[in-house]
Amino acid sequence: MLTLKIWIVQALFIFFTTESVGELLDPCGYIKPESPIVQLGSNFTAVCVLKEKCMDYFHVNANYIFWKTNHVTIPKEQYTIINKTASSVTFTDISLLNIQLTCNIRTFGQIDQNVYGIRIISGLPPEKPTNLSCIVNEGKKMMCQWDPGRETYLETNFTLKSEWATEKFADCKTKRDTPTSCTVDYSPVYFVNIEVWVEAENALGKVTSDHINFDPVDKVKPSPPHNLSVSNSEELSSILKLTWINSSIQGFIGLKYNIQYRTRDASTWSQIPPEDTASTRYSFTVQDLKPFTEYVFRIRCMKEDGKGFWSDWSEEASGITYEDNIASF
Amino acid sequence: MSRREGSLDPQADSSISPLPHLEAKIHQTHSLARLLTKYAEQLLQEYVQHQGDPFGLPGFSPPRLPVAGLSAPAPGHAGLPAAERLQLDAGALSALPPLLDVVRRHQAELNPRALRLLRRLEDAARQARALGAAVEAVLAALGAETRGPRPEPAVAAAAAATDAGVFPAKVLGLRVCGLYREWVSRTEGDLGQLVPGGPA
Repeated sequence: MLTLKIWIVQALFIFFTTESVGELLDPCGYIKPESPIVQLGSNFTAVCVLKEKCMDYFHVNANYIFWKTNHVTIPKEQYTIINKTASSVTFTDISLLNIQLTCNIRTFGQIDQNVYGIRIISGLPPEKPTNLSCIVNEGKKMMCQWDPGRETYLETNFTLKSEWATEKFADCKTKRDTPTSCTVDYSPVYFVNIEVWVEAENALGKVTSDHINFDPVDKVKPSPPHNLSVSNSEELSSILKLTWINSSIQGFIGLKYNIQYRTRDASTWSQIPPEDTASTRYSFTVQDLKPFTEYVFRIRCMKEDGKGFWSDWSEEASGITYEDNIASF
Repeated sequence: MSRREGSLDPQADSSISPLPHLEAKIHQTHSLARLLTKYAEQLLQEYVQHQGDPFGLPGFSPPRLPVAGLSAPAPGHAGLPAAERLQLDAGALSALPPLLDVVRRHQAELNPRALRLLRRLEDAARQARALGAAVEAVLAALGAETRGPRPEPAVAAAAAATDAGVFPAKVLGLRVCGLYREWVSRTEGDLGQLVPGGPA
């Protein structure tokens, strides 16, 4: 019986707060703006407008309006009565990221009723993206990354744009989980300068990074040399000869190398002087090694003029110098 | 000179001689032509593979007629002055992209599953435009006129002629891919003579 009474009261409440049975969901007023996005630290004003029918039925006007944020009543000092149907509330220096704002009326002297509610989202416009840089992993597509600037607290989209002098390429839109980098969907063409920049945009603004202009061949990270092999010499117990296969990019650019070596039980690598491996080659003879000793080698390469990135290190390869013929006597 | 052409703008920094910039641009464009020559070979091979017999059979050699007014480099091309050779190269490179687009449209109907071929044809058109623009930039930097005699714009005629059937469309594509290879290779050679230390 009690449950039925409660249900009836609720039904009557809904009936009396709407204009007619046929308009059960018609609110008593509305708030403008409806879904604001506001810059942190700025001022914001919302206006609640009551409908005439509601005002007549409940015998209220704008003076009966009171505002709440997150269920806390706002002091009347922040209200402004615009006219008999409209009241505004002003916030200065907004600092909360997410505010639920409701417009309410006190009816019959004691019943508080909600007229309308909105959510105020606040955040910051994007800063100019900086430190834009790109890399072309050999055989793969170009990837660019950047620093996005400050946290905006809003959904901010980053778009990488690129073009030749002769045509524009499709925008590269970042994915949610990698908002500060993008891999373009076209294959790189070496020896054609490309211009690249990033646009950042959210509900509060749009900004563009500085443009960079470069030849993709100067941003290459080659694949490492492969099939590294080591052979010894019966005549010379102090040398080992390395041979390897360069990746296919050596057909278009000159390469330079780092060759490192260590004895099997050593923890640190020694390096061949870079000036000795400063141009494209397929082998190298390492000298002044200890006889009858196992050495481990690795090699990496990059564009000969130093532009771009070093490849990963190759697979290690090892070899043993020959016994010293003099010592064996 | 557009900055996008590889910073070949002496006005941008008057303290630096334009000569290193020009040399760098020639070197870059020559490297591009060399790269595209390799790609053009691959394109031609892939094109032949997808056309079926008699394409690719030994001895199959359709007439090497001009296409939309575009012929292969003339036998006397190599004897012309450098600027004139580059002007002819630039003219051919500007005529090739629409022809490559026609071929791609035909192949999209004839070989819709040959995705790599279709992509290579699309890339070839784009790359020919880029190489042509780069050659024109070199010509401008050399103080030469940027356009020599241009082939008649007759791409529509090329497309219409092949409405006559599948075989003519395939022959057109073979011819266009061949012309693309010949002209990028010719451009490579012409630029190679300008590269410091290159053949005289």
